[in-house]
Amino acid sequence: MSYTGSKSQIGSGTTISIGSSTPPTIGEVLSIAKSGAQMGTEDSTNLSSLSEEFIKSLLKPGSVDIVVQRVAADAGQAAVESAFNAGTIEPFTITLPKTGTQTTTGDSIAFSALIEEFDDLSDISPAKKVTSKIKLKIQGGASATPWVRTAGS
Amino acid sequence: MIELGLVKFIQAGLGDPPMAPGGFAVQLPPNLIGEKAGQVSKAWVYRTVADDPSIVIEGEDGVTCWHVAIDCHGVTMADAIALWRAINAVLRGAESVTFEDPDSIFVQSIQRGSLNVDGYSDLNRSFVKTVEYAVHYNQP
Repeated sequence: MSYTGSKSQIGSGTTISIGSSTPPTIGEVLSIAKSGAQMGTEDSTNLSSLSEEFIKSLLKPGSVDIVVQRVAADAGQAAVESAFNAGTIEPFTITLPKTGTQTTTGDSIAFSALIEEFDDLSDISPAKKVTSKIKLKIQGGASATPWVRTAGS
Repeated sequence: MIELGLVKFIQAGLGDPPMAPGGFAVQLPPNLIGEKAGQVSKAWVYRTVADDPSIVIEGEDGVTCWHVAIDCHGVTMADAIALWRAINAVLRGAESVTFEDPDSIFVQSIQRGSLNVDGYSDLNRSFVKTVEYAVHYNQP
């Protein structure tokens, strides 16, 4: 099939919510970045090997880093802080904006995570907005696919 | 109307009556500056230089940084400098202020920029000191 143009999308319009029943959206998000997802390996090189070899072990789900403009009254940011203080693992949903072919909703990604880090005042500068940094550690466990993507429509 | 709010804020701080007319947009009215009867020795103009809206992942945020240049005109350079000092005293350190424009715009802070240029206006036959300010405010 010949190339007819890029189908990529920009991130503006992405939302991330915390919780399960009527989950509040985390407000004024500046950036969301997933990292560290890695398939574990175990070396299985032996005397019969002619070169190094390995076997698959366990998936390391990775983390999600979020930077927000701090808003004390934002329900989503408050929910994050509560969950951090309680040490609970919470469900999160990231919903991307609709692409040109989607009419109802964009792609969404569901995962559970522990709020590993919550820096309420990560940056206070004279001429910049006060920001907070959040680090989510994605929970694995019973599911082989802790990062569940659902196509939009 | 951030522009109207700024003009009212500055003029209110220049005394009663204000030491100079001002808050004209872009340029002075013709023949305002001079030494003849009916003319004034100093006046000021504002010009929008840039506008930095804040973009978050959900879209455009309400917090905006408006970069505005204040041109202080004077019959002499001393007049222009005196007017600028008075305006700077009003703006310097201004924070958490609600402007008296129809939108009652909330201004988080006003900070002086690095632009500070002296010049001469042939059109107005006036000396001009131009200084830039960054006005951080919440868009209505």
